[in-house]
Amino acid sequence: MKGIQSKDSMKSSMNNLKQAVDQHALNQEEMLMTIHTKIAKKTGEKRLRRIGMSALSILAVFALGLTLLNNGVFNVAAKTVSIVAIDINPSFELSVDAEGIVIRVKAVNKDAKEFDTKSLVGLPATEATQKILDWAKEAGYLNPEDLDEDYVLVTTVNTDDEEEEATEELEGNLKSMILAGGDISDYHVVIMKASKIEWFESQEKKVPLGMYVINGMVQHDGVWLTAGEYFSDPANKQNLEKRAEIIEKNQNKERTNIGRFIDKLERENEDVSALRLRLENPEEDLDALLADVKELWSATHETTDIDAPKGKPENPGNSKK
Amino acid sequence: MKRKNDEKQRFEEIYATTFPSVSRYVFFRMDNVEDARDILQNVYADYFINVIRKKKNIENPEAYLIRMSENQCAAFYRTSKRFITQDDIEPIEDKVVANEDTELSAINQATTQQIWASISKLPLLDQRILVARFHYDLTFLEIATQFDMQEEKIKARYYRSIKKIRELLNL
Repeated sequence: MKGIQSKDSMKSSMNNLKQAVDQHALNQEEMLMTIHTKIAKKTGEKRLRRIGMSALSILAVFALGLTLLNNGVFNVAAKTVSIVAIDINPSFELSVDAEGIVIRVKAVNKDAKEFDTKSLVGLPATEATQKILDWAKEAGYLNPEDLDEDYVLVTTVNTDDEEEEATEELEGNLKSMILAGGDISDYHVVIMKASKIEWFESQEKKVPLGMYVINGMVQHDGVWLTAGEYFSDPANKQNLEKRAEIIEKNQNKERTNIGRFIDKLERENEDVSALRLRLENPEEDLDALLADVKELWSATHETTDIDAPKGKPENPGNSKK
Repeated sequence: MKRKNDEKQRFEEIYATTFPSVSRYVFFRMDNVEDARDILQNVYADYFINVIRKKKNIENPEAYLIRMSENQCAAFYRTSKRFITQDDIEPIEDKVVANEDTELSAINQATTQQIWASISKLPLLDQRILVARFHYDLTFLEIATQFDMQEEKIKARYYRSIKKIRELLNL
């Protein structure tokens, strides 16, 4: 009896063991549930990876688009086709698109950095040029009422061979604006064309483009001439006319200004009769007359700053008065 | 929704018919039950994702699943340090005679969870022998062949394991 019980007990314990192993080792039903969970997890991960990849791709395309947009790839109008360098001291460079609109302004020297040029972006290049001249006058860099000759150098560069016509049109517009008179006729304005190479070289040498061009036309020992110094030599002026158009200061205004100085000298008891006669002569060479008036003025007004040296080599152009 | 149900049904049919052979194949190639379980789960999950869901037509799912298992087992051992049975190191105890009511009652009264918890504390080889014996209903000779061991050694380890389980359950 005991043997039978033991046998039954043995059988029962083996069954229990089998049940335990079947249920916990590699249970088919239990594992199926786990497999379904795993499938859901794996497909979820795949989906997440796919979404992640898609999101990354979208981001990458977006970033690329932004970069291309910034480089003006998608926007023809935002591409620089011309450079307009305005050298008065201060010196500025306007990047202009095919429509003649300013898309970037660079303050080339220290004096130029004093001006807030943001408002020039989006303006037609002619209007922006006029604004710069107004600022220079307000800041005292240009003064039509002294004996110093003020020169404004306007240099254009075509930076896109396919848009040469746009640059030519821009030059024409700038010239028309200058010839139209107004305040600009108080100064001598030099309109020049420069090559891309000259532009690159001027950047490399950190010299404003207009100054770089005129200095390239004279022999000097590594000393950069200011506009005033350059134009003080009539030979230089004559030479420059071969490649630039010099729009002289309005003759009547110049005559009036010279007359103002002759009057002043006369009040100081200087003998100005010969000078006055020459001023009244319509055929008189005003440059020569001005040079003589300046000489007399300098002789009697040594402490005045009328003939103060103009800009330094790294800060070329007209000096602040 | 219908498509998902169809996929699930198709998968479960294949699972039901192939699991015994595939699980046995994996079980005897892995050094422990837990790793075998992981491999099987991955094999079937991958089969669902890459075959069922993609509507691939596989002529012999069982052979395909075994091939997948083979690859997964090989991959597992490429990256894991294999457990090597050093049978001679462990002393083989005498055959356990489990004929005493007091000793057997512990196994009879324990829940399957308690029994499995005790089995999990045994050496990996002993666990595998028990699974081979109880789950796959293999004879000692078959187990010895699968594990490339002497039949007597398998028997000895088997009885020693039963004794150990009883001891663990009586604690």
